[in-house]
Amino acid sequence: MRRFLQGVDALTKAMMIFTAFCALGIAFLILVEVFARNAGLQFYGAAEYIRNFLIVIVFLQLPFAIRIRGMLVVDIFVDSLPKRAAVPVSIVGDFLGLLFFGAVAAGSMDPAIAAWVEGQYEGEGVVDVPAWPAKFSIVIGCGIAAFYYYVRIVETLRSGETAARSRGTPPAI
Amino acid sequence: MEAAAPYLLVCLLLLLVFAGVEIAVCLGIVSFLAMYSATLDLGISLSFLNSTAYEALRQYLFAVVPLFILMGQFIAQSGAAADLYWGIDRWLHRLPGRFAYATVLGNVVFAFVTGTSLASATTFTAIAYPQMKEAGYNRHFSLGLVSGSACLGMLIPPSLLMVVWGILTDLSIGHLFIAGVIPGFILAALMMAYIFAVTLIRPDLVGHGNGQGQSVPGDAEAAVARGSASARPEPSSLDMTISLTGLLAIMIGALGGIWVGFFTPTEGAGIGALIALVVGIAKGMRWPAIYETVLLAARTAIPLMIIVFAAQLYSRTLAMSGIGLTLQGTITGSGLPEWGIVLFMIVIWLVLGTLIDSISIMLLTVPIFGPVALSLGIDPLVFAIVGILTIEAGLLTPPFGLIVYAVRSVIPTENVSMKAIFAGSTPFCVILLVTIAIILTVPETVTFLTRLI
Repeated sequence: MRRFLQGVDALTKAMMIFTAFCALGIAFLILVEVFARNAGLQFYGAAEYIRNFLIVIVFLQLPFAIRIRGMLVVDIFVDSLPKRAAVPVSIVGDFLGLLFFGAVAAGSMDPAIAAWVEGQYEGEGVVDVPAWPAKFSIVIGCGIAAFYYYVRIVETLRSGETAARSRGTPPAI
Repeated sequence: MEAAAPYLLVCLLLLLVFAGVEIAVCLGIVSFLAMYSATLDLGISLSFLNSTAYEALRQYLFAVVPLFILMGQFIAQSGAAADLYWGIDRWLHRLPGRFAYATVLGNVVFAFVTGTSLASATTFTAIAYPQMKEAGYNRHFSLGLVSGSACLGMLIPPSLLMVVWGILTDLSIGHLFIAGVIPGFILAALMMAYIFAVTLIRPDLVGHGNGQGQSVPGDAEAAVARGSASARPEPSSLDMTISLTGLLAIMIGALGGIWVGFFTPTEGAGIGALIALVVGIAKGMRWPAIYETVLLAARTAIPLMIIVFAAQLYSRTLAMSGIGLTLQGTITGSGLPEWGIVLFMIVIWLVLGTLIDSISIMLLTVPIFGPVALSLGIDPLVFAIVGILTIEAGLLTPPFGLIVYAVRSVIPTENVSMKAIFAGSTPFCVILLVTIAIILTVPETVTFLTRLI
C-alpha cells in the first residue's frame, strides 16, 4: 500500500508540474494569438485549445491540492473541538470528499470512453479539438482525489490525529 | 416537508461549512443531494455532476483566474512591490506621515497588478511595517493601516473577487473591473484623509509627526523569515526604474487594453502575466525562481478553480431545483422595505466576513442575493461593488478577520496582540462602511466609467 501511495504521489506531482506550466503556456498562446490578429495573420483555435486546457489543468491539479490539504476550508470551529469529537467530524468530512469526487469520476467515466471510441471533437469551425483528453482528465483527477480522501480516512483512523491538527504539516510529495 | 427542503439544504450546507468540511465538497455534496432529491434518479444526478464538470469550466473567461494569479506572483516574487514602496516614499520625502501615505498609495498601485487583498496584506506587512516601525510609528496604527489599505486589492482591478462575482452572476468582468476604479480611489482618498487627520490630531502615532524617520539598512527578508521586522535596504535606481516601468506597462498594456476593448479580460491577463515574467527576469529572477513561482501560482489558483466548479454546481442546482427562487421569495416577501433588505444582506455579509473567507462567502450568498437585488431594481454593478466592500470589511473585524490574521502571520514574533491590530484596523473598517454608504447614495460612482467606455 505504501509503495502504491508513493507511486500515486509521484504521478500527482508530475501532473501538477506539467499543468502548472500549461498555465504559462496559455499566456504564450494568447500572446501569439493577439500578435497574429493584429498582424492580419491567420491563427485559429487558440480559444478552443485554452478551453480544453483549462479542464485538464484544473482536474489534473486537483489531487495535489487535496494531498497537501490546500483546499479552502473553514477550520475555526473544528480546530477548537476536543480530540474525541474532532476525529469523527474529520472522518465524516473526508468521507464526503471521497463520495463527491468518486461520484464525479464515476459519472464521467462513460462519457470519457464514448469520447475516445466515437472520436468526439469540440470546436465550431476551422479547428476541432479532441474531447477525450479533457474528459479523461476529469476521471483521472477526481479518481485520484477520491483515493486521497480514502488515504486521509485511513491515516486518521490509524493515528487518531485529525486532518485539521495536521494541516500545518501537509505530506511532502 | 417539500416546502422545508430548501431551508434544510441551506442548514446542511452551513453545518458542513462550519464542521470544517472543504468548501468545494460542501457545495458539491449539497448540490448532488438537492439534485437527487429533486429527480430521485442516481443516473441523472451523476450525469449532472459530469456535465457540470466538463461544461462549467470549459469557458475561455475562466483562464483569467490562473493568469492573474501568475501575474501577481511574478510581481510579488520579483521584489517590484518593495521598489514601488520605496519610489513613492522617496517622492513623499518631506510629508509628515509619509510612510503611511506611501502604504496606501503603494497598495493602490499594487492593487492594479495583483488580485487579492491577502496578497497585498502579507506583501506590505513585510515591506511597509518595518519602515514604519523604524520611524517610530505606533505599531497598532501601522499594522491596522497595512490591514485596512490591503482591502484596496479587492476593489481596484484586476480583482479575483470581481472575477468570481462575474462568474456567479454572469456580469461582464470587464465592466466590473471598470466599476471598481472610482470606488477604489474614493476609498484610498478617505484613508489618506484619515492619515492626514491623524498627523494633525495624534502625531505621536506617526513617529511624533516628523515623518523623517530614517530606515536602517537590514535584511528584511531574513528578518521577516525570523518573524520579526526590520527595514529593507533602499533599492538601486536601476532596480526602481525597471520595477516602476514594468508595473506601468502592466497597468497600461494589460488593464488599459481591457478597458478600451483592445483585449478581452483573458487576453489582458495573459499579456499581463508575460509582462510580469519579463519584469521578474529583468529584476534578476532565474530558472529556479521562475519554476517555484509558477508552481506557487498553481497552488494558489487550483483551490479557487475547484471552488468555481463547485459554485457552478451550486448555482445550477439552485436554478434547476427551484431552491433559489424559494429562498429569494422568502427574502423579498419578508415585508422588509427595500433598504431593510439591503441592510439585511449587508449584515449577513459582515457577520460571515468575521468567520469565513471572502470567496466562500460569495459562493454561499451571491447566487441567492444577486437575483434579490436585481428584483429590487438595484444596479447589478453597484450591488457587486457594495457586496465586495462589505465582505472585505468583515475580513477586518474580530474575532476571525482573515486579513488581520494574515498580517499577524508575517510577523509572528513581534510582541503585538491580535486585539491591538483589530483596534488599529477599526477606523479602516469604518472607512469601508462610509464608502459603501457613499456608493449607495451616489450609484454613479460605480456606473459613471462603465457608461463612458
